[in-house]
Amino acid sequence: MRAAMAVMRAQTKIIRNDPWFLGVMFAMPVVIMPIFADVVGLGLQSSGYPDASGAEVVVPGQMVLFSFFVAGSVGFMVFREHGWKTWDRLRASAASPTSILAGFAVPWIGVHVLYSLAVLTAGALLVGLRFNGGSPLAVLLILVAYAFCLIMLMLLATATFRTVNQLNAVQNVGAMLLGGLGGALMPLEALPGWAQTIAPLSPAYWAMRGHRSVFLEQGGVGDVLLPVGVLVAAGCVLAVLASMRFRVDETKEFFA
Amino acid sequence: MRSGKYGFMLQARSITKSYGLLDALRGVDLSVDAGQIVALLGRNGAGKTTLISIIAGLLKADGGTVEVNGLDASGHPDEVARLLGVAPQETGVYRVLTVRENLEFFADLAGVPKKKRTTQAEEVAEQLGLSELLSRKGSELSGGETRRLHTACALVHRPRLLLLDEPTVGADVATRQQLIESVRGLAADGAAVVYTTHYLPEVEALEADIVIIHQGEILDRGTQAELIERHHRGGLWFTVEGELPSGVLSGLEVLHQRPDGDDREQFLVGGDIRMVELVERFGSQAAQLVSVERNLPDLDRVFMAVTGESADGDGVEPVEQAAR
Repeated sequence: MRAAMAVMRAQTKIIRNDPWFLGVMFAMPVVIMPIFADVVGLGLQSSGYPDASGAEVVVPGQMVLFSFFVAGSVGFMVFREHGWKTWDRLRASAASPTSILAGFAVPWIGVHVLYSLAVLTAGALLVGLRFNGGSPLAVLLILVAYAFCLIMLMLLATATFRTVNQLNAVQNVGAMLLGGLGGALMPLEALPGWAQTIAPLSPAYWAMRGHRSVFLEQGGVGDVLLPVGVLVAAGCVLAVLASMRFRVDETKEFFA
Repeated sequence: MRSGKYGFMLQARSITKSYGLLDALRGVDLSVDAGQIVALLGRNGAGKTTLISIIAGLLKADGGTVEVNGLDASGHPDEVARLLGVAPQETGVYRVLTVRENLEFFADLAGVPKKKRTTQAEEVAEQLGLSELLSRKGSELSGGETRRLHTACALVHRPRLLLLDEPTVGADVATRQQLIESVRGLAADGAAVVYTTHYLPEVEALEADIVIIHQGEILDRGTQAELIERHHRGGLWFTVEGELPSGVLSGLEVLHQRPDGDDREQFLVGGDIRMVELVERFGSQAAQLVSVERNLPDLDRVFMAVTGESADGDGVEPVEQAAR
């Protein structure tokens, strides 16, 4: 536990000392939101939400989509340790493999939640996102559950792939595929029937379902328990798979 | 061989390791007492890094046991890891963290309490000439500074057993000197040190117990004086241009023979033969004798006598070459 805390503290400093990536990941959805809000708003108004501005779907959608890239950072941090040749130093320390994994995951879950809050705040300022009677606590629960699920998904990907290029490719394709399938790019109603059928396989679907129930339907904590539960359960399964698959002595290729 | 109150700080027994068909280590035994510096001396591929990696827990041995301070390393990996300071061969520091943050992190990782971390980080920085660089990021350091930080990270928690795998590779003369002094200081404070190197002058400067490792086996061990006494065989080195005249080697023991350039050959002959006698053996062809010198007792030549291979070239760097 002590070693895990040490790794967490160091990872937090590394993130703090190298914030450019997060800055870019914040700027992207902020730029895109105003472009799509009106169009999506019109679509929602014709789908039974006459008061919708579009921000209720576009802001969480962009946040859910770019969250994949932010979550991918946990994997890049592991690969970067190999590039810096510090991985073996971690392995030779008193930190167990589980401590090392926890040391990487926990700070990124925190960063992911803070990032999501920042994007939602920007959405409120730029395109008028409002709770409209929905529960802020419910939103926070979704953010934490989604962050946990995505970080564990990325740790599993990190455990599976040997080169940073493989991880990068899977992250990019996964973000577009899972994000799109989950309704982050466009409202779920606009997707073809087959896509709507398999959409629940994507964590983005459950995150979007939770956010929609809060921002469009004035949902409370009770209304998001199912999506939060699914995300947490999926995250637990992914965590188990990642810890089973993760080999600390496996060489990973990072081209710094 | 000395052993402390609780036995050796490091005791590795019958360590074997293979990579496919290659036997990297063939039943290696190594013991190091508290306060002792052991220099593992061997050519590239001799098994030095493999042995260090196994002791550090980075590599699994095929056979054998490693005990640190009486603890079986495979049964008590966490306890053993806390006793170790490891500086692997490849330089590894956090480039986006400052020198201070790097040092404090490795102290933190080893369980050094928060109050002591700052003090110990500053002390080791002082020892290795990093005090002025504490607030500089790893990415802003020169090669020598990075190498010093790399080693400092292994020293910062004051380990009981220090494993340094070629710590001075790529380091300048001043850095080498600082590292050697730090290692000697740590040993004087009671740490056991295993130090692999190519550079023979470092072994001499460390006043280390020398372990000669060759093709996965430890061939001999002792102080420099002990090894020289055991293996130095006197004799003469001479270099010949063209074909060696017949009869020159008659009755002499040829200890070593190697090409020296396109048309020259170098010989080491043993025994009590004098230089004048050798020149006389060349007779009218004495002009072919390019050089002759006594085989002086030094580590380079001891290494060659033990391993049967030249100490220069790809592997151990001899005194004259390393000093340049």
